[in-house]
This record gives sequence, structure tokens and C-alpha cells, in this order.
Amino acid sequence: MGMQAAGWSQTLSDARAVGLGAYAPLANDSRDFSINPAGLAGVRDWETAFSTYMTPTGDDVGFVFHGLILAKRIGDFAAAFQYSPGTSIRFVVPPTLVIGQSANPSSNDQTIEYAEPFTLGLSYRLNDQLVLALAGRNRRETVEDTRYEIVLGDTVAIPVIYQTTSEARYWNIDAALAWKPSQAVSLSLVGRNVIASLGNDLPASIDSLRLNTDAIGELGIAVRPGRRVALAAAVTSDLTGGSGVEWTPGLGLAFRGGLYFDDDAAPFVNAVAVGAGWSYEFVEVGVSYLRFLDQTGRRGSAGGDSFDPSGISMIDFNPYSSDRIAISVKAMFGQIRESLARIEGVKVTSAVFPASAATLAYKPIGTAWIRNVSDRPIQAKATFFVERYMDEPTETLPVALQPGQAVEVPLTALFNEQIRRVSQQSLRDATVAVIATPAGQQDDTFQTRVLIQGKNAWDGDVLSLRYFATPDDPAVIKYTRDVLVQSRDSLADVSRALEQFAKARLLIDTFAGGLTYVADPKQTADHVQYPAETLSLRSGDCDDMTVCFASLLTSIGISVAFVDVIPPGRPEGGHIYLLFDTGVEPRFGSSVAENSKRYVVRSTREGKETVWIPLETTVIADGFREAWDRGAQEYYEDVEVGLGLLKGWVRIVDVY
Amino acid sequence: MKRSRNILSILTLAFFAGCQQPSDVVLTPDEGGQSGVEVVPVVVPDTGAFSAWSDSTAILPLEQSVLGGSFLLNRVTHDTGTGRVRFALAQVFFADSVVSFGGRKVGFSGRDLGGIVFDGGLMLRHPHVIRFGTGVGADTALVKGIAYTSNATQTYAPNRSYSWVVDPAGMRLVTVSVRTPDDLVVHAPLGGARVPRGRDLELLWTGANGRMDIVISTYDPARRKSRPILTLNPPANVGRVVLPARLMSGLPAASRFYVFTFILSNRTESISMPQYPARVFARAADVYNSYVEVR
Repeated sequence: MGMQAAGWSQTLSDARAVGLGAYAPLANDSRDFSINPAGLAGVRDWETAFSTYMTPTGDDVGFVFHGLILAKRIGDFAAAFQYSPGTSIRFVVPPTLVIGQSANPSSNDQTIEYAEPFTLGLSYRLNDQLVLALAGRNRRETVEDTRYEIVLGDTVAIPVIYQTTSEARYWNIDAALAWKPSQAVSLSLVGRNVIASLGNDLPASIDSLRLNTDAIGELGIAVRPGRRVALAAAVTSDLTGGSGVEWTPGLGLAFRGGLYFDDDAAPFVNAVAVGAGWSYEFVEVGVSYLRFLDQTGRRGSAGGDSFDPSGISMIDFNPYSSDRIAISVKAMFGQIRESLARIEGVKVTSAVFPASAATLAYKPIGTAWIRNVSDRPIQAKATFFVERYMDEPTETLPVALQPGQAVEVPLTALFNEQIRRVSQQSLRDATVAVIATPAGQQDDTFQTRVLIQGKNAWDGDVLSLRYFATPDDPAVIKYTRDVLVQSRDSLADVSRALEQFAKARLLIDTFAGGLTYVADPKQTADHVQYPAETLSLRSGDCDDMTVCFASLLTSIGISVAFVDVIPPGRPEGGHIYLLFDTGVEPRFGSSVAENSKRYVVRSTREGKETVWIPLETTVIADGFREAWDRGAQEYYEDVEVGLGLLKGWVRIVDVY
Repeated sequence: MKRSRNILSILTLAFFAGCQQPSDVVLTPDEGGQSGVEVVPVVVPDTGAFSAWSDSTAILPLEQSVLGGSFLLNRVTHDTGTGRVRFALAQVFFADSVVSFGGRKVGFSGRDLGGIVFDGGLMLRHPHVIRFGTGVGADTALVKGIAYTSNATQTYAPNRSYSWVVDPAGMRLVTVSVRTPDDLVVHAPLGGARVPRGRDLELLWTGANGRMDIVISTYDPARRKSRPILTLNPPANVGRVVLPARLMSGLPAASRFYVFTFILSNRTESISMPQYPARVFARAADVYNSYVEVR
């Protein structure tokens, strides 16, 4: 027989492993994890696998239950347990002597059984590319021996025959490293028996029957030249190994072929294998056929004189292994769908200001880095969700990702009305998820936190300030309607061209009486009162009053704009005041004010130029006239003298 | 989903229902090896004494106890490791009456057959001596009847036919022939070998045209006495028998020294002798005694 070296670490449990010939670099689940425990990193949640085989060349053509695996992934760890009664081989030495006059208690002189009934595995994913793993194989060596003792009597030498049983139980520890530098290449390095023989040994008198436990290194590489094809090869430090190919044409089908080789054997390629697999939902079934080219010693009998257990490293795959048809089933439970995309990071760039929260529906609240971790192109979209303040997760537009590609996706958020009821600043959990097609299910989630400001908080941007203006607020509408109704008679005398101007003046004068300027409460963000609050409190700072008057005016159809002034080199001197549209055409500006410096000509949204009046709201308690005077003065200095609009330190923001 | 579960259930049931134990691998002896070797304990007749097991006659005690008439031609080699002695002897002995001593049967008286011619020469006719092997009077010898001997050391040749001519009743001559086997060459164990108890012992020899029997005896070098304990009867003479370690380790620990006696023989059975009703046979044997130490 071409005696095979001890080194090849292939087991013949799972059909995929059998069919591939070189399984280690392609291991990606719990099946045959004893070949390469780093494959456990591919376990998604719960996983179980059954395997069985039959020996077509043997006398007993029946199925042997090979093993049962149960595996579980917990975060970056995955653990597995294998019970494998089929990882067993028993050698029988038939009687060579016929002892007269004594009953032999056994039908054989000796039985030697090697088994690995239990295997434990543990893997740890260091990062996307590296996985470390350990496996412990519990090995049992049992020798049942017939012993003779010749007792000399007076007249006869009496052979006494009895049976002895010796057993060794020990653990062999394997270590593995899997490295996947890209989607197309994966490498495996498995060290077998890095720690060997942890346990008790056979007695010294029969220690020659011990199996080989020498340390063996095995290097494997798998390459995916295309999306549907994988090539694999592995070689051990004893120059044994295998190579294989896997073709997945679709529809859940897989076809495999493998070669096993041994530098010490003749022929060099000493076995070939073919196999097929089919996966459907959470179940995967495989079948493979392994054929040894040299059948010597592989058909249930072998030369006893050349029997050398030190040449056997693996119980499944050794010089006495027979041809076999392996059938296996893998089933996944729990979160079993393959992740197509992964969130690699999330950055929340903005706090949520309830007043302007609506802007986050189109203005990014942050970004997420999404990577395609599958081997196919995908469409991925991210969602952002804050419990209680959002009715549904807000999705981004889908982005196309090639295998391995990563992109930065802006996150938006559509908040519900609850956000406007947040009284105080708070930190809330936010969930970012990625959904990839074609599967269309959640692939990965990322938990982050988002700062939600109180409802009166303002980020200091005048563009956001307009969101505090609430012309539709019933309190605002009621107030303006009451004032106008009460002044119906006086307004009746006003010309139609100046009606808007008169109404604005009336509203401001009416409300200004008794107003008090009060600075913001000390908070991180600026504090802005909603108009209803200002109407109620009759006090506020310039922001509050500007917002309140803007709301009052817009509630009766008068266009309003904020003038945001941030003096150059003196940002702390920033200030806001108001412009409102009189509706008077510029040619009739003199009907509003003789001095054209007291008003501003602006275009309305419809493109019609009209006369706008600047109002300094902080002095509005002194009456409309004073507020106008001060506003006109400031506008003149800021815009016409300081050229603030041209230089960019003055902004005019239309409220509606 | 339901379909998948059904598939899984069916396959799971199939797995458990159809499970068998892996087939055994039978380790058979390689070609040239021997299986089915019959091991027979040597029975010493309960006589208190017996005609000493003679490594030169190569006839076991039990056979001696039922011995009738025998024509023997033995070439005997004693290989002790330090020296090798070889001689050939032709012997004729016809048991006559039972000899008793102290009420116990100790042997037979040898019948006087008159002159016997072996290979053309007259055999030496001499008194038959019975030596006590064990028990009381172990050193005692009795002389009872006649035995015949002829030194054939010079004339012995393998694969050759030898004849005895005898007229036991004085009525007619009877010719008894037997053919010697091939030369027996023992390759293992050779004399003086140290054989480990815990290992298989390979017995190797060459020599055909004969039946092979192997006798294992304890040996007392001080008294130069051996006691046969086991005979090995290979079903065929293929030149090799392996004594498994389990048998070697079971050899009596009290004895360190053993004799492995290889007997390559041809027999002629059912020889009819006038006025001698007992069994008569003729045998030519090449006998090789290897004296070894079993540790």
C-alpha cells in the first residue's frame, strides 16, 4: 500500500468538505469546523449540521451516522460543539492461534478502536479580515487484547486465556488563523496538535498503538476568479494536501470537485472527489463521493504486519479510509440571512433643535459609512430612527455598491410633533440601520446617540430662527384678529395702498405697549420663545420679539424677513431685526416715508418690488415709530454704509 | 418555510434511523504469514515418571505413552548460540510390556525383534534404558528390554528414502521405508537469541517436503533438562509463524530459557507388523533445537 503520511488534516464528515478536497481556506460555517475552526466566524446565529456516509466498497452498505454539530455566534465570537460517533475506526486482529482445550473469550485476538467523539471549537473575529480560532478534539484509543498465560501443571501446560482492555483519552488542540485580504482571496493557516495529548495515554506496553499526534501545519488559499467560482488548495508541512473547485451557478446549487494528494503515496494524487449541494432558505444539503485511486487496504482488510498507527494522524482520513458517499445537512436558525452590507461607522454631526427639526428631513443629521460585505453588487440604503420622536425610520436614497466598496451616506430624519414638546435638552439613543437589496432585509444596525435640544433652543442660525415663527398658532391668529377687529374703524380710513403698512403699525403699536426686554436664560444654545409664549409673557429678547412680530405680521399676510447682522470681527455683537413688506410700490414710497433711507426696496417672492420697513424690535416697546427709526438707521449703516450684504456679514432671510 | 422544515425533519429521521457502526478493518497477516496455527498444550502422562522427552527422538511424552512400534530417522541440530551440534540417529523401538515402579507406570519394555538392517547396515541392538524424569527416584534408570540404534550422521541426506528390514516374528521379512524431508534451515530464532516477552516472535525457517511441528519447551540449563509445554501445528508449512506478544508474555515467568524445536518430518503410518497388534509408524525428521532466552 502506498502508505500515506500522517499529516493530512482533512476529515470526511461534511459533504462540502469531502467534495472540495481542500476545505480549510473555504470554511465559512460550522460544518467540519475541526478542519479549520476559523470557519466558525461564518456562523450567523444558530447553526446545526448533520452528516452521514456510506461505504460503497464495503460489505455493509449502510449509512453511518457521522456527526452532529451545534454552533452559535455571540458577537465576534462563535462556538461549536460536535458529537461525532462516526469519527471512528476499529481495527480487528483475528485470532492467529487456535488454542486447544481453552475457551477463547473473544472472537478476536485484538481490537483497536480510535475515535474522536467530541470536538469543541471557538473562533474570534479580530476584524473584517482576520479570524483566530481554537479547536479541541477529544480522542479515545481503546485496545481490547486477548492475553494468554501458560500455567505449568504437573502433567500439562495449561493456557489460560483472558481479556484486557486499555483506554487512552486525551485532547489535541488545534489553532487556526483565517485571513481574508479581499473578497477574492482568503487564506487559512491551521496548526494541528499545537498542544497534543492532554490526558492519559495507553500503557507503555502497547504505546506503539498510539496514533500520531505530531504537530502539523497546513496552509490553504482560496481564490474567487469570478462571482460563481472558487478555487482552493491546501498543503501541510508533511507535503500532503488537496485542491478543489466550487461552482455555484445559482438557484442555490453548487457543484464541487477535489483532488487529494500525498507526496509519499503512489500515485501522487491518491483520491478524487465530486460533490453537489443545494441550499434553500435556511437549509443546505450536500452529497459527495470520494474515491481512492489505490484501494489497497481500503476495503475493510489490510495487512496486519504493516499496520502502523503512527502513520495515522486523522481518524477519518488515513491509509485505511474507504471510499465513501457523504451526505450532510446544514440548518441555520435565528438571524440567518447573509449580511450584504455592514455599517462601519456613524457620525452624528448635528444636534436636533425641535424648532428646526423639520429641516433634518433634507439636511443631514449625520453620516454613516456603509460597506458591501457580500460578493455581489448591491443597492443599499441607510435608515435613521429615534424612538418616540420619529414615527418611522427615515431612509436615505439607495446607493449602488460594488463588492467590498464602502461609501459615506448622509442620514436624514423626519421627526414627529413630539419633538416640539421636548422641554429640556436630552440625549437619546438613535438606531442606524442598513438595508441592502436584493435581499431587502436589515443587514446591520448601529446604535448611536443624538442630542435633542429643548424646544426653545436655537442653533444661532438665522435660517433656523424662522422656524420659531408660528403664524398659524391659534394664539397668534386670535391676537391679530382681535386687534384688527377692534381697530376696524380706524383702518377703514386708510388708503388701500397703505393698508398693509397701517395694519402692521397697528399690530405693533398695540402689542408693544407693556413689552419688556429680557435677556436669554443662561443655556448652551440660544433660547427663543415661541410667539404664543411671548404674547403670554409680554417679554423677551430681540430674537423672541423678532420672531413674535414676524409671526403676528405673517399671520395677516404680511411678508417678513429677518436681518441677521454679524459685525466683522465681533461675532458676539450679532443682532437680528425685522423687515416687513408694506406692499407699496417703490414709486409710491414717498407715501410711506419722504426719506427713502427709511425704507428698503425689495423684491417679493413673486418678483414684484415693494417697499419694506426695517424695525428694531428691541425698542419696540417705545412704539412703532421709534422701532422704525432705529431699524432704518441700523439698516442704513449695516447695508448701505458698511456694505454688509455685499460683504456677507448681513443676511436677509425671508420668513415666508 | 413549512416545506423546508419537512425536508429537515425527513432527513433528520433518516440520519438517526439508518445509522450503523463504521465497518471494521481486519488486519490480516501479510502474505507469507500464518494464521490458524493450532497451539496444543503438551500433556505429560500422569505416571509419576515418563520416558524423558528426547530432543533427539522428537516424540512427545503423550505420544510416548501410547507408543507402539516406531522406526525413526532423525537428524538433530542443537543450536545453543555458543555452539551447534548436529547428528543423525536411526532408532527402532517396539513397546512390549508396561514397566511399573512403586505401583506406577513408568514406561515400556522394548521388544527384541532380532536383527534389524537400516540403510544396508545392521543396527546396534542394546538394552532399553528408562530414566525417571520427575518425582521420587528421578535419577533412577531401569533397563527393560531391547532398543535399536544406528548412527546415521554420515549417511543422512535430505530427500532420500531410507529403509529398515526386520523380521519381528521370525516368519517373514518386513521392509519399512520413509523419505527424509528437505534440509531444515531455521532462520529465527537462532540459538542464543534473546527474545522479548512483550513482542511478537517471528519463527522463520526454510525446508519443504514435510510437515512442520514446533515444540516450545522450558529448559533448565543447570540440569540440561527440557519440558515441552506447547506444540504449534501450522496448517501448512509456509516457513513462517508469528507467536503474538500476548502468547510470548504468557509463557511461564519462572523459566527464562526455552527450546524451540522445529520438526520437519515425513511419516509412514499404518505399518503392519506380524504378531504386533499395536500401532507402528516410521518417521524421518529433520529436527532443529534453538535454545533461546525469553526476557
